[in-house]
Amino acid sequence: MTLRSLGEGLRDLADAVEPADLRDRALSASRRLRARRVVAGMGTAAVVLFALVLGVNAMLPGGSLPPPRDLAGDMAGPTASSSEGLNYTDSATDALGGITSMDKGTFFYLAEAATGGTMEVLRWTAGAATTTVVARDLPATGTEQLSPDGRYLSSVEKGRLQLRDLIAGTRHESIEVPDGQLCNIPTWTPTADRLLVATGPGGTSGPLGFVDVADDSYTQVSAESRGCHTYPSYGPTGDVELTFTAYAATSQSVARATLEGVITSSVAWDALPGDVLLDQVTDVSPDGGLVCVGLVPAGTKPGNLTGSQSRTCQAIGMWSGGFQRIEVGEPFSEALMLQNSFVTRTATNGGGSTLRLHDGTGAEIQRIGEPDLPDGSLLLGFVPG
Amino acid sequence: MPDIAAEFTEFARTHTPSLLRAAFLITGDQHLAEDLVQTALARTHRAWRRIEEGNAPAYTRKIMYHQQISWWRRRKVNEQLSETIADTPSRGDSAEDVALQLTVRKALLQLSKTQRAVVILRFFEDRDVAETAEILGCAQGTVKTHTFRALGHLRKALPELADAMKGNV
Repeated sequence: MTLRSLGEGLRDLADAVEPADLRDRALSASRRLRARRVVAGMGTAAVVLFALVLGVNAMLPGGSLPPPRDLAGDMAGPTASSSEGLNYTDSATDALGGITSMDKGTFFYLAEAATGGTMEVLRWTAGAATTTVVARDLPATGTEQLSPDGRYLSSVEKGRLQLRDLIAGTRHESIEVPDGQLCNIPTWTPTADRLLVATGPGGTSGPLGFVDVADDSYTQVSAESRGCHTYPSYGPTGDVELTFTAYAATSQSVARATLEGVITSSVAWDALPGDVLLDQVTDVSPDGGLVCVGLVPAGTKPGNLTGSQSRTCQAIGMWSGGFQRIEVGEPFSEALMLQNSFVTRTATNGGGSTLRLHDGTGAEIQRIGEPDLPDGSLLLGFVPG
Repeated sequence: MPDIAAEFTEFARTHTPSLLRAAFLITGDQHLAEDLVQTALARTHRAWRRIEEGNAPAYTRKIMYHQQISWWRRRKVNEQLSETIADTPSRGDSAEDVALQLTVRKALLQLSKTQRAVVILRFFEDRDVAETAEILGCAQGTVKTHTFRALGHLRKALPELADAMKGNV
C-alpha cells in the first residue's frame, strides 16, 4: 500500500471489510421496530381509555393526585456543595444504606430529541404517567454523566467540562479537558460535589484529578493513573478509592487503588467460569461494594478491538477483594449501582422496559414499569424518593 | 402503487457495500459495522414512504452516522486501544503495507467520535464541508474545527501522510 493521500489510506483500510447481504436482516429489524411501536401504542391507548372510564382519582388511594414534586426540595442525598457521604435517612433505605423502594424516586434518561440530531434529558418520577424534559438541545458527546443527587449533568464539549444544572436550567463551562475522552470520561464522586477528570491528551489514561463543582478548582491526584474507565468510591475508612480497568499486552484486569496509587485489590479478566472475560468497569456503587463490568468472549484481545465488544453493564458483582458475580434472574440491558443495592432495566416483549430494584445480594425487592420513552433512551441515574 | 419491497431490495443491494465500508471505518469492527448498517437500513425501510425519491442514500447515511453516535453514548465509554490490534489486512498486501494499514486504523480509532466521522465523510466519502455538516447536523464551522483537529492528530500519528494532508482543512 502506497499512501499518497488520506483518502487512499482510508479506502485501503475499508477494503478489509467482508461483504455482507444485510437486506433480510434489515427487513427483520424493521418488522421488530414496527411491532414495538404498535404494541406500545396499543398499551398507551388502553391506559388512556382505562383512566377515562374509571377516573384518575379512583386509581389512587385517598382519591387525589399527589402534589407535584419539586425536585430541588425532594432530592435525597447531599447538595452539590456538600462534602459528606450519601445519607438517605428516610424509609427508602435499610440499615446498610441500601435503597429499599423506588416509590416516588426519580429516574433520569438520555434520549434523542424527536426532531433528531440533538439529545434531551428526561426526568420521570416513579408512578407518574409522563416524563419531563429537564435539558434539551444537547450535542451527542458520549460523555454525559448525571451527578448522584440528580442535579447536574456533566459532559465534555469543545474541549471543556460542561455542567448543566438540571434544576436551575443553567449551563456552566468548567475547566479545559481533552476533547477525545477515549479512556476516562469525567465521573462523579458519590457525594456529587466533585468530578474525577483525566486531563491528559485524548486516549491516554491520565493524569487524573478532581474538579470541585463549587468553584472549578482542580486538584491533581498524586499517583499516575493505572488504567481506564475509572470510578471513584468511598472505602470503609471513608477514603476515596479508584476502581478501573487495567490493560496489559495480553490481558486485562479490574483493579482498585488508593489515590496514592497503591493497588488494594485486583481481579484478572478470566476470573469468571465459562468462556467469558471481564471487560471494562461500567459502574461502581458509592461504597465500592458493588461493581458492574462488561463481558467479552474468551479469546478477545485486550482493548476491545476484536470480536464482540461490550461496553455496557453485563455482570454485577460484589467486590470484596475479588469479584463475586451476582445472579439477578432475568437478563438486563442496563444497571445502576447504588449503595448496597442496584437497579436493573429490562426490555419487555411489549416494547417498554421494566425497572427492578435489588438488594446487595441480588434479591429482587421491587419492579415497576417505565412510561413510554423514545427508542434507544438510556438510563442515566436514579435518585431515591 | 410503488412496489416498496422491490424498491428497497434494489436500494439495499446497491448501497450496502459502500455503507458497509464507511461503517467499518467508523466502528473499526466487522460485526459492529454490519449491525450499524442493518439498523440504518431498517430505519430507512420504515420511513420509505416518507423519503422523497432519490433521497434514500443520504437519509440512510445520516441515520448511520447519528446511530453510531447514539451507540457510542450507550456504551458511555470509548475504545482503549491495544498494541495488539486485530489484523484484517487487504488481500495480497506486503508486511509493510499491513503495518501501515494497522497504523492508519489505530490513528483513526484514536480520534474522537465526531472527528472520526468528519474525517471519513470528508476524505473517504469525499463530501465537502457543507455536505458533512448537513449529514452530521452541525454547523460548517464545527466541521472545519473538527477537521483541523483531526488532521493535527493524524499528522502526528502518520508522518507518511503529513505532506499529503497539507491544505486539506
